[in-house]
Amino acid sequence: MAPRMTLQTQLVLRAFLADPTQSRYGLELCGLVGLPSGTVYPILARLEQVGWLDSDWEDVGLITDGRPRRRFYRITEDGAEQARDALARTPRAGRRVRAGWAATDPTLGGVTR
Amino acid sequence: MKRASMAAPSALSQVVALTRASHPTADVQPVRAAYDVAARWHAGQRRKSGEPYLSHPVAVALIVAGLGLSPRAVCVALLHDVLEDTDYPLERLRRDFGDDVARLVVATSMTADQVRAIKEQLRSNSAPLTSEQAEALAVKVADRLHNMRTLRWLAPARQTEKARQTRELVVPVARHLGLVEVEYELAALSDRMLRPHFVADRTTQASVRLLDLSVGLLPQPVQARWREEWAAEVATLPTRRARVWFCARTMLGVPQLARTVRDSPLWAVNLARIARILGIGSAIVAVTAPGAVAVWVAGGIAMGALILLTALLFAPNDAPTRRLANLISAWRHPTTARRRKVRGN
Repeated sequence: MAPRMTLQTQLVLRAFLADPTQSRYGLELCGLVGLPSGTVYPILARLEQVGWLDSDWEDVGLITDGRPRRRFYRITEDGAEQARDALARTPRAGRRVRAGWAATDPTLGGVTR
Repeated sequence: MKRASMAAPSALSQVVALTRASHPTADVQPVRAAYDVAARWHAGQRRKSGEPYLSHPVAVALIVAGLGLSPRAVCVALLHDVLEDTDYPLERLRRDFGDDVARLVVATSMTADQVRAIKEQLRSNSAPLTSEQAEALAVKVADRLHNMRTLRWLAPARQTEKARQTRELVVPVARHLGLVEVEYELAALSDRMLRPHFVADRTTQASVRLLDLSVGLLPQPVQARWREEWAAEVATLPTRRARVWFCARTMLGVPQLARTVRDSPLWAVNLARIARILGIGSAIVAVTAPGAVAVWVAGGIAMGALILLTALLFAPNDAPTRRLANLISAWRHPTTARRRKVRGN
């Protein structure tokens, strides 16, 4: 079942699609899309539940100083495809929202028709 | 600025002097030419710190020269960003500085994946580095060293990402190249960025505990995962304010998260339980008898209380925090007391 394409969900997906091979952690995404953590984590959990995202712990071998492991998220191939479809199907957002996207990250400014 | 205007002549002479120090007989004319090209093509560009961009290739060249590498490597250091960041064409680079330098400049703009491949190659000892590869890598390492020294100008999320990559890839490469001092400095710089900052800060501890409490709303099997995930995020936040703020915002998302992970109003029941635990529930206890509406109302009240408690954490002195800690321990005590009683019977 596809997740509901709220504006916030769209922002998160666009952030992943901007660089599909990059894995990111929750806090990093909050900064990228400019949403509070309380909004981003539930979206990540939902996207992971439907299989669009994949997540895994940071490689423990790298941590020498007792820092807790981070959880990293990456968009799956299948997820990227479905997310692009879903984003293309959602009605084009208004100009104001697009301006907001462009402000967060220039690569998110171009909206797929 | 005074420093910027004075930097130009003295920077070049410093680079030349350092190069000569380890290569007294070498021809330093290419170094001067490389400096001129970098100065001309990076003109007008600025670093994140606001300094003229040229300060970066110069700093990298100083590191490279200080390591006693060849004048050719110093040229490469000065030119290492002209292809990527300016319109200076590769053919012209070839013509001006020769094939060797051009090939090395191209080699320094390798991606993280290429560095990873080289690191693996070094670790497995499958193929030794060519001297050209080693020179390009050394410039790359020097480049990263200067970037790590000036890391504070990047966004916090990028800082941690760079630090992680440095720890994972660049430090081992520096070790293999035998650049011991560089290795240590890189390791120290990236560890500082990755170490937990919040060791003895009571406000943070209290808000993390509160966040942990709200994790109780999630289904048992996934609780540990989110606790750990959030603890890792909190640990890398630089200021107390940022940490408390993160806990508060994340806590607000917990009910939504609970609904996502398990589509049932169980979280509301749990909220009511937390309300009772926190001691504000004496009035609510009466209402939590079976009946969905009552449960949701209680859940709402409890959520409000959690938000209020979080707001308390922003108070300037730590009295409210202490009271909160007392509250939590007061909750723990009766529970353990009751358990003991049960066991006694």
